[in-house]
Amino acid sequence: MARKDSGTTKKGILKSQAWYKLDLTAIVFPTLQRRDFSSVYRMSVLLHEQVDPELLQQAFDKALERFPTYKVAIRSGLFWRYFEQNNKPGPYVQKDVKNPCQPMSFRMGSRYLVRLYYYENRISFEAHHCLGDGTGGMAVFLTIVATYLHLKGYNDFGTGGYVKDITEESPQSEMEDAYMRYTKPGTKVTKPPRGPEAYRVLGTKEPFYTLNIIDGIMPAGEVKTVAKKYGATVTEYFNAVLLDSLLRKQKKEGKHRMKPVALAMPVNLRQFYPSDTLRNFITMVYPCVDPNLGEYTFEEIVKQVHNYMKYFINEKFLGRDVTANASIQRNPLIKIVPLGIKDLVVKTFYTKVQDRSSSAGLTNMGKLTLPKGMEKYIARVDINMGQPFSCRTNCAIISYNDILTVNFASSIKEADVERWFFRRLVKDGIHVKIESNRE
Amino acid sequence: MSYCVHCGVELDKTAKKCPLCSTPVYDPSEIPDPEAVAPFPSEKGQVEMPKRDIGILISSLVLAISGTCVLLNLFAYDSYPWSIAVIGGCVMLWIFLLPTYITKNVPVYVYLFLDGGAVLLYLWLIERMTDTDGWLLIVGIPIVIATTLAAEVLAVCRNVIKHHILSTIIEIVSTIGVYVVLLECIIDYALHGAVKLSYSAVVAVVMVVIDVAAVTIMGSKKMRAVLRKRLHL
Repeated sequence: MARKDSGTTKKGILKSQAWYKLDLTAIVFPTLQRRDFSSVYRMSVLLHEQVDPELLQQAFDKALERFPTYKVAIRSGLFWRYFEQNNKPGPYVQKDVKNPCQPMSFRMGSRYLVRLYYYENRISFEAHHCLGDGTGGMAVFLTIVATYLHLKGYNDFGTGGYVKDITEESPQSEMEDAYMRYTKPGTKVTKPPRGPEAYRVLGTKEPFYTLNIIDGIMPAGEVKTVAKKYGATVTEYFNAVLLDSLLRKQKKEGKHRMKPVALAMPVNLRQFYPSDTLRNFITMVYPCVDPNLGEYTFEEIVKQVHNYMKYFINEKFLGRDVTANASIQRNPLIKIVPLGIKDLVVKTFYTKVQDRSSSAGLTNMGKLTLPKGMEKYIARVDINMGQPFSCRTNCAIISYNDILTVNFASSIKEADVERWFFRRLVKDGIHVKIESNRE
Repeated sequence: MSYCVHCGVELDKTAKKCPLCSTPVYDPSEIPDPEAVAPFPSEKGQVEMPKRDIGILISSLVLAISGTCVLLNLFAYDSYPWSIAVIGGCVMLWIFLLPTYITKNVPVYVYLFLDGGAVLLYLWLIERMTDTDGWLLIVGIPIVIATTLAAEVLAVCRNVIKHHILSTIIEIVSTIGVYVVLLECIIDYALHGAVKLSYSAVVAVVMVVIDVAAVTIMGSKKMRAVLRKRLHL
């Protein structure tokens, strides 16, 4: 457990000056912070009626108190960054904008690392990834939405799952650094082998303050049927479709030497290591196809991804990754290196190695379940991985009821990858509806 | 509802073209609804971001060093105007670092001209300090101009011409060839008052041979394949 303060108030809300260490994943995100980039993700729900901004603000204020790890500001220490309780006014509900997931300054304004937007029937929540992963963010967001619906007078549903009870204390288990709980100091593991440098999409970078979004909305049942036809899960099927699109893109660029095409896919560790934490608890896997080994048919790509997932996504392999990373953080020599040098090393490693080990990002949050009775107020749910660190595209998938949405976010002008992706789905007989903020 | 004729996806009511392939939407049976709400707002947002700290830090350092040197030169070590060299060096460094830390979104050509200008300014300061007339006009300025032009040509080639390893080789090799010839011309003229090419002619011939070979290989698919095979590329 990372909290270092002396105690909490009755409601588990942090006392003034309380502080947290950043978790293992969160450490990386602030080092990547640029003037034109922050690791910000976004979640949206579409209601059946127009959003009332005043009630939404009330709901935001009430619900955020329940999540002390999201009502913080990030500050720099001598050796590490840390979170500190933020009591400044805000954060305020804003009208939605065309270019979401804008950078979040750590020092400007009220220093909050969350934002809430509204547009017609839609409520959107943005959070800096250093606060928590998609699971944590979804819990905060859906609790805000549930509070808003309660304030609207819809009281025929309770709490459960992602929706937390705002009258309850925030339990310690939600604030724990689960990485540290599940990794023992001194455990020796072999470091995960470093993958080859992956193909990088050649695209025209959009100017600052531009994020191109393409949402594909489709029936979840149809996707399941198609994935089953290929003998794969929905995640494996989408991985294969995206890898296939990237292979086509690379081929179209006519490069003399083809590079392996790989995806960076976060895996929720909670399914292997039970934890209620709302902070980060993920690790990455990199399903990959190497065109230098020969021409791949789509079926072969699906098979490759399927086998990769079966081999790597298990408690042993994922545990090795986490333990290896945790041992670096625990190293006493690394602990005493000044923050500026750590930042430089981490950023260089990320830019030169980590970012180059994948061609695109893909995340699947799976099927979203809401408390009984809440479903009738919500038409659709979207998630966005946010602005990619380099010129490429990120893909985020979520399904709710029978609607599955695939949300692409990219900072390049070309939409080749997205085009091939959705054309493949249409070819496989899936009905796809496209929405976009592109002009 | 409209569908893209190329992608087969259903499009939003408000879409004017397919976001995937930019094919315009033309559906005679669909009457456009002026009150239809677009899936995304049209207003762009802009957040407040901190100023460039490193830029400010570098500028402050340059100012502080220059100021300190001027004071030291005036009141402590005043036998010789040495602070001019330090100030000139600081200004040159500041201009070199402009694209990295201070400004962005300015074309690289502008930076290269500024860099050339900074070097010229520094050379001029050295000439003033050392009271040695002549060399700047005959050697200094021409070499700086030749170097800046060579860098500009390379920058233009890199931005305009499509990237290919052979075209990159041709660009670099040609620029080096011309640059070395220019360099020898300038130095010869300064030293002897006449130009007689020697080493630069050898370099130029080698570069021309490389260029011709690269152009020939570029033009022949068969030769490219052979080269790949021979070099195990």
